Amino acid sequence: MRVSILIFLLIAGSVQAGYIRPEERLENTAWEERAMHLGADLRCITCQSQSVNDSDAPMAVAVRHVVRSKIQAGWDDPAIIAYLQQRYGTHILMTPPVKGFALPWVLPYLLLLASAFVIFLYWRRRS
Amino acid sequence: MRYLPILIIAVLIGVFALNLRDDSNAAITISKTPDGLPAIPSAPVAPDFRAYSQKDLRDRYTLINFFASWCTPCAAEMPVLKEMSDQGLVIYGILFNDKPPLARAFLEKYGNPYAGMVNDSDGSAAVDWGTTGVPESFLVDPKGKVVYRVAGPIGEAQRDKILSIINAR
Repeated sequence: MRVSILIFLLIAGSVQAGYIRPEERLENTAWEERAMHLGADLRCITCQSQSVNDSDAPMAVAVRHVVRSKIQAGWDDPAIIAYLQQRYGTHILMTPPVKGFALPWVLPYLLLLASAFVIFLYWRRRS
Repeated sequence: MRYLPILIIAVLIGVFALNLRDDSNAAITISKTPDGLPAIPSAPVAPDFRAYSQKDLRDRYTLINFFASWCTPCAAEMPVLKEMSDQGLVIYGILFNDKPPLARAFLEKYGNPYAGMVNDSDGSAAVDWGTTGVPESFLVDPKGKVVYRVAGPIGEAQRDKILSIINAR
């Protein structure tokens, strides 16, 4: 039982830590926490749907380094995001901002409403 | 009422078409070349490899090439780079995420097309240039502006494009 718990904690811990190497971490815990939050929201541009925190690809390591060096230089989070977005577009964001009419997101609900309407018409005609 | 499903489908197709025309909704907008000239690392690869700086990228066309010894496509593009440098194009290398001794062995094996070389060991220059990996190349015009980029190895088509830009001057 204890071994199971230990294995679980080790796996959970490794998932939490991602691929970030100990030497990458900032000594200032508040800065490191900011870097972790930013890293979780930034896409590894050479990977398949992974954040830079979750990848050991050289470009992900490079972006993590840039994020930490900008934090150390006194940049705030929006400035760091803007810097990266200027270079990589919204694709660098794990959740790109929704602009205009986001049809893919509302389509299921529209179809549900349309189906309910058709069923209602069919039911009324039969009754 | 019989035509309601057809009407719904027609409206949906119309909305889809409008969304597809809107470029700002494009899912992938990888690597827009940033305005202005990004940073050049100051660290040399080795004492006997000539380094360079941003002021070397003025008054003539230059090609900035990110490469690494562990990158197979980088080896594949070396003959084309060598050919272009032999024709007079100044090519500057940025070694990405690599060890200088391995880079030296790489260049001894495949030839050295670089007029200068700097070391981007932490990848910060690669991010500043908006690269998506190696190899990646940027043609810089005499005013110091990036006018063409190649993500991936330079082949004959990209070489011809680079030469046509330079010769159209």
